[in-house]
Amino acid sequence: MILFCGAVVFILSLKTPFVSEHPLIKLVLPSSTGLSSTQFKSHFYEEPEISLEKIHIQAFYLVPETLQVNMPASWKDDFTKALIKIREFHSAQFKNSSNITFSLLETPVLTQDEIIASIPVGIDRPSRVDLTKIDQFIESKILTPGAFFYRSNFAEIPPGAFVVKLIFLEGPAALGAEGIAILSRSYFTDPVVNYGTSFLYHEFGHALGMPDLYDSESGETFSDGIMGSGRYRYIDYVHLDQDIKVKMGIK
Amino acid sequence: MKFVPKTKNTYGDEHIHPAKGGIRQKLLRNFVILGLVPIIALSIAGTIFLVISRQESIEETENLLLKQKAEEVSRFIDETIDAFEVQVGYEFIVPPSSGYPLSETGIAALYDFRLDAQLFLLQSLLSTNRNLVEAAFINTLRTEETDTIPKKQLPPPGKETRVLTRQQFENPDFNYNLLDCGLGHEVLAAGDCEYYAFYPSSELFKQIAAGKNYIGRPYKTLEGYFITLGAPVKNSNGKVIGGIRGELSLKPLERIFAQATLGTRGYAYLIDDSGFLIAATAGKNLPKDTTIKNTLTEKLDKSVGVVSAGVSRNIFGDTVIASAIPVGRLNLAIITEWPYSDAYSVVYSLVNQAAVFILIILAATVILSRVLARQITRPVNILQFAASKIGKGDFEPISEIKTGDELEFLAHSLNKMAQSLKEIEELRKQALQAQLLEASLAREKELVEIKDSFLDTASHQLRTPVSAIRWQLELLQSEKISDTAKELVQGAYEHVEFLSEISSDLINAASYGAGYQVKNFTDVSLTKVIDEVLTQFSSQVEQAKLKISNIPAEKDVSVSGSYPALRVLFENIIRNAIRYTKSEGQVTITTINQADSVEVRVADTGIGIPAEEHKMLFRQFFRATNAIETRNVGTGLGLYIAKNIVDGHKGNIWFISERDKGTTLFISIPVKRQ
Repeated sequence: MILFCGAVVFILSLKTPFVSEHPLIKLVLPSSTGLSSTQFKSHFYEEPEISLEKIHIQAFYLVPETLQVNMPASWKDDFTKALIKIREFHSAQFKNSSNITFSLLETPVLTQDEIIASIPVGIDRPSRVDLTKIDQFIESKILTPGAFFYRSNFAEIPPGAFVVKLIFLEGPAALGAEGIAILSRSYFTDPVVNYGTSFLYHEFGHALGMPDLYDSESGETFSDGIMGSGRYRYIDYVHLDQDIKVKMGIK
Repeated sequence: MKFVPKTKNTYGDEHIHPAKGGIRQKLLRNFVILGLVPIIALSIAGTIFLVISRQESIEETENLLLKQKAEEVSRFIDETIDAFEVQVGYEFIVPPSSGYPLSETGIAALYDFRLDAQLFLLQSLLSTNRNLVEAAFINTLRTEETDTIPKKQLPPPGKETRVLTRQQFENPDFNYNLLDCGLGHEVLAAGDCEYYAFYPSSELFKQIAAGKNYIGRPYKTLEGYFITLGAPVKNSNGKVIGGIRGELSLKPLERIFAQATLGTRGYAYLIDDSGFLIAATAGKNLPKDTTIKNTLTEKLDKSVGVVSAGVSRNIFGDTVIASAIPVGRLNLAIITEWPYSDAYSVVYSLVNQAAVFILIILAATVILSRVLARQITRPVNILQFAASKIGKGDFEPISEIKTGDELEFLAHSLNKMAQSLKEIEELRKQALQAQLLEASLAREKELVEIKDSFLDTASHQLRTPVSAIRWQLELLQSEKISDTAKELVQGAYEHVEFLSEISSDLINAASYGAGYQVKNFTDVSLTKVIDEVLTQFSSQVEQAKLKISNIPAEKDVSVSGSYPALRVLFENIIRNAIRYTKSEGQVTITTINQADSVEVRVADTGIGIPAEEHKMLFRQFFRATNAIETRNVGTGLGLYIAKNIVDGHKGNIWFISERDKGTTLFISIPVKRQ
């Protein structure tokens, strides 16, 4: 009877943390439930049905034939470093919930001026940009098997990945729209400009649906994040705006 | 209480043990109860007291750490933002040689605060605070507020007029002219030089324009967490003439929190208002890519002080004691989580020591109780065995018990009781024997009375008529009767003689039967008795023509005995000798004085006794076969009576005999009463 009562009291006392957390008791009855964490489901801006868990960047260097002489010898390294950097930035801002892979076309894509002319030179809102011609050009000249610039390892896309076509343009340009971003090569080679990569991600952000957080007409900025005035800040010191992240699943 | 036999004790007797445990178990139980229950009760009460005390101590320790870290975080921010709060004097900023006109009050407006002076200020800030990665100067004034400067020369309020990054500042080759965006010292319009932000509607600008400091929300970059700070720049009369924005790295907070520990495993960490981790105690792999949200962080929204979640689960699922404190204006919160087992390790240590102490006490109690039980039960077992022996009628004393206590006294009492019981038993036996003896005496007395009555009857009812018949037959013989009648009378007379003899034997057998004891001892001369008997049988001797030799002792020595009995003794002996000795035979009676007795030998030359019948000679009603042949009338009681009489005098009687040659009977009667 005494032993039974003792056992009942002991079992009941296990409900008190002082007993259940005793090192000897925990050896027998481990209570830890392990790490409990919430993994984010990143998605396209304000469109949860478009997953951004995997993003694949198809980057290439678009060079007007007339400007071939301006091509820097280090363009591959410069672009690769920039791509790696925005991948790091993206991963950090999206809390590792969105992973970027990229492929950089090993050869510059030379084109005629008329294609280049279709690309808006200034920085504009993606919704106002008509990128039909450049899209057609990419499909026909680069991604179609047998095309001159077709490379199978470049055209190959990881399953389930959201694809962004990223153009390093030899010439003035800085814009982004859904699935495509274009930025002048000079942002990466001008020794004065240290915010080139931030700008690259800014345009890449547009490709993911992110809006500008400044008014291009008044020049007023609404954020110091990378989609606002932060695009002029070195990428190591800039962030992605919290409001945008929330609308992309990072809550 | 039930008892069950179990073992045998040291005396080989069966031990009996109580079914519910004996003294050992009771001692153990009582020792445990008396020894451990108070200790356990005290331990439990002490533990509860310690837990309560420790709980308060834990809360105090956590509160102390939280407040300390909150103060350090606030101080870190405040020291930075304090450096932003610049008050500039016009005279210092604008040298007379600049050509700008001075107002009457000597206070310059913003644009009087020249760009190169702005740059100087930003350089000063970056040089004094290495955690600043960027600093900027913001215009807060409108054109109409400056009378001395043409309106077109003013940048719009909210437009940054100088930005300097740490990379630029630390680059010795940096061309500061680039900061002019190619515009030189011209006034910037809103859209000019996008590198300089324009945020007239931002909270930062509003706060600065209102003369207040601004602290933004922490944000995460590849270089860690940063926070945007802003402060107004005022002239010497306190008017806001601009503002400074700075991007401050929060890396120093990592150092502040790296050493924040509670006990050995307690930790603290800093989160932003979204729940993302900013800094934590070193070695704690708290998740950086997930928000930390729980009831504690929800409470923080409504609190300005320390919030305690008490005992809760941390993100790893471990039981912790958690508390938190918001860091005021910074949109940050500090959380401490102290693993329960570590927080209460001191108490656990004491409890463990108490448990070990209790176990030692328990072991000592068990051992001690067994030793004591052995000391107690051993004499008890002896007493039990002794009681068992007494119960079986063995009253021998038990070995002494030297315990010096009640048990020794009990053993002594038990021995005394056994002795008393032994005496009582002996008395009881004696009483029983006395009772039996009394009964036997009563019976003997009764038998004596019956015998006396029979003797009286025999004497008066049998002997008297026989005597009368014999007397009458003698008278008839003396009368003149025919020869035939004489023969008949003679025959009748002989039969009466037989009848008289038989009645005498029967009377003697009754008087001197088995167990005869002489009642009245007198000095008796056996010589005289023998003479009397020979005289009594003289007619038979003469009739049988026997030769009788009576050889008396040289000295007539009397024996102690009963004359009547000795008379009957020698009558029977001598009668048999005469009766069973043939005519012309010899009967010799010799009396010899021995040392302490007188021995009489009666030897005849009679028919003797068959050897095979010697051992039956003194039996009641025994008659030798040749005796029966010789004389068919006889009771077989003569020698039986003789033997009883000799035994009654403590004498001896024996014989030697040979058939057809004769018999010699030896009678030894003690001189003194035995």
